[in-house]
Amino acid sequence: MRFTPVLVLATLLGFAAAAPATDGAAKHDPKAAFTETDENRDGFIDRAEFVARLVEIFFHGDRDKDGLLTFAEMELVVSFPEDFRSADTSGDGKISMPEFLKARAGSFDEADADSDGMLSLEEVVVVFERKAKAP
Amino acid sequence: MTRENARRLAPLVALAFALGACAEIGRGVETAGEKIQENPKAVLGTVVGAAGGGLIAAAAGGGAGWIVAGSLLGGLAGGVVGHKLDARDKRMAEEAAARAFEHNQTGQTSTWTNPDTGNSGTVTPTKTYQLASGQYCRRYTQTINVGGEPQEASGTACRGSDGTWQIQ
Repeated sequence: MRFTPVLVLATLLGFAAAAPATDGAAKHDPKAAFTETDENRDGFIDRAEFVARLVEIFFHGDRDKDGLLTFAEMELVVSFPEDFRSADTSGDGKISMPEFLKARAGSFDEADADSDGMLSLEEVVVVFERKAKAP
Repeated sequence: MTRENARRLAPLVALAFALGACAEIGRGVETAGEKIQENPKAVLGTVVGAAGGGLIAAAAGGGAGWIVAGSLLGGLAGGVVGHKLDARDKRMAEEAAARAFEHNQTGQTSTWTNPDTGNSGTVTPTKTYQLASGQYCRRYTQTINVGGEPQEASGTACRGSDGTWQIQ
């Protein structure tokens, strides 16, 4: 399935991820997403790796490649697209990449429990599970 | 942040990605505007330079439509490799590159092999970023094996509004 890698990416992005409805819970795999995001394979995700992954998700999610993500596009690659509603300052249902990055910037700090500037797998899983259980 | 502001910040964000220097997400975006104000010519130069690259590629024969094989292969051993490939090799290399640029994750490799000549190659995106215009660009590495001798090169391709990828 061609979109599988992107969906795995989406899992990490959300830290509360959800996959498209097509495959249900099978895409909820923060460990796989962590491994993909940990580009230098040092066992941690730093901010640069986190941002790079967000850019990847934005790029692959932008199906018509107009440089903006609609909420329809976002729903295919991002869990909890409603998190981005406030980023849509113009209210046109689309957000730019800087808006997308800014909207997700807090996720890194939220996950970084020990504030060392790096995310461990455990930190990612904890946040993932917490947000997945949230109403 | 307004959309207009976001668009103004995009080139700096893109530059940060390209340099691997985006140390902080939110703060990086927040300070981007300040950096533009501090040194607008540097930021503008980056964008114009990238756009200029596309114009040069088009003037050299890229035109509208497809990836320019000469550009794609030109970085390999001073372009000598291109002369050792037949038309099908070049077409397969272009198609592999187009697939990689459009669909591959960073780090994911597309390959091609021409059974008639035995030549083969790979194309791997290594970085994705976006220009102020919203245009996507991807850095890449490629290898081509001609006569059993592997050659490596790297470059940048940007996606045009017509959906084609132009080597910069």
